[in-house]
Amino acid sequence: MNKLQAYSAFWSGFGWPAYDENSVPASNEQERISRLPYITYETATDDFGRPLALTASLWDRSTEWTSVAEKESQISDFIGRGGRMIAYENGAMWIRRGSPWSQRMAEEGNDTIRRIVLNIELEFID
Amino acid sequence: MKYTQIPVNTFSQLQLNAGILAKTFTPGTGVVGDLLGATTGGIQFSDVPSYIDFGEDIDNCPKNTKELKQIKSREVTMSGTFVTISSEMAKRLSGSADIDSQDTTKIVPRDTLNSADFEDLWWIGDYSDKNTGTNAGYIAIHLLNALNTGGFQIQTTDKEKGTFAFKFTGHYSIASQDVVPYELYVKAGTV
Repeated sequence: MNKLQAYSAFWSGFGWPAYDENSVPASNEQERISRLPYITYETATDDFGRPLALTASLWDRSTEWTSVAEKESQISDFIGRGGRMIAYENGAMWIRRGSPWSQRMAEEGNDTIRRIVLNIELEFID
Repeated sequence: MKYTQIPVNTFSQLQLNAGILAKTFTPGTGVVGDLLGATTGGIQFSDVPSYIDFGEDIDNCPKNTKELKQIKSREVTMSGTFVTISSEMAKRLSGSADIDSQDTTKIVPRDTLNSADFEDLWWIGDYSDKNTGTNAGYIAIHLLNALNTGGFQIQTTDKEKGTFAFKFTGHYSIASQDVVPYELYVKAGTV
């Protein structure tokens, strides 16, 4: 597994489909909403010693925050206070919670969509 | 470029995060005892030897001849800053003090040192790419006969948390004069 595959697998490991934020498989808004809940994540790479500040979003169709908040808690616990090392071919990435870790966001024009944005720090070590 | 690279196993040999200070640690099992307190700014450990060069006053002898160099002493210290305090910690940071038997909130410094003022301490930090679970990798330093030689210090700041700087020094013992007052463990984690 290369680094980007490992990064994708990390976000796919929490029970919800996970997509690169530019690759949600939906041709229109209605189809996008029908795929909820899911996770979208920013993708970037850099060299060892250069931590990246990236975001991911947890999306669900609901009038309550319960489901996205539970998913946020699950991811937070998995990463832990000291971060989590994820191995890949010839290296590993160190994922840490950024600051602020999570932030609730409104979805403009749709009160039934709940979104929490997560900030992470990511460092590739290879 | 040929000489701009890192070892291929770098990711598996990194020490990560600030680590913890504990009263006890069992290297074989990775079981950590009670933590001393919360710290800020990380922990600094150093073992600084002082050398004597028996050849430095000998005519025609080059300086730093390895056969004539000896270790004179070593200064082994673990320093940092706590952000939490308790009566037990205040006693420890005072170096030589007692908790009053009638009033356990009262710590009474004294001008003499008792053997009980010296205690072993451990610093343990995450190590390697496998650093979770029972077989997590760690680097551990066992500081022997530690005494806070920095004295009790409290630094307060407006609208900030109070801090308590420490400098634990490891000590030799007359009972075992050849034992350098620290031990070091480096254990890679396994799945």
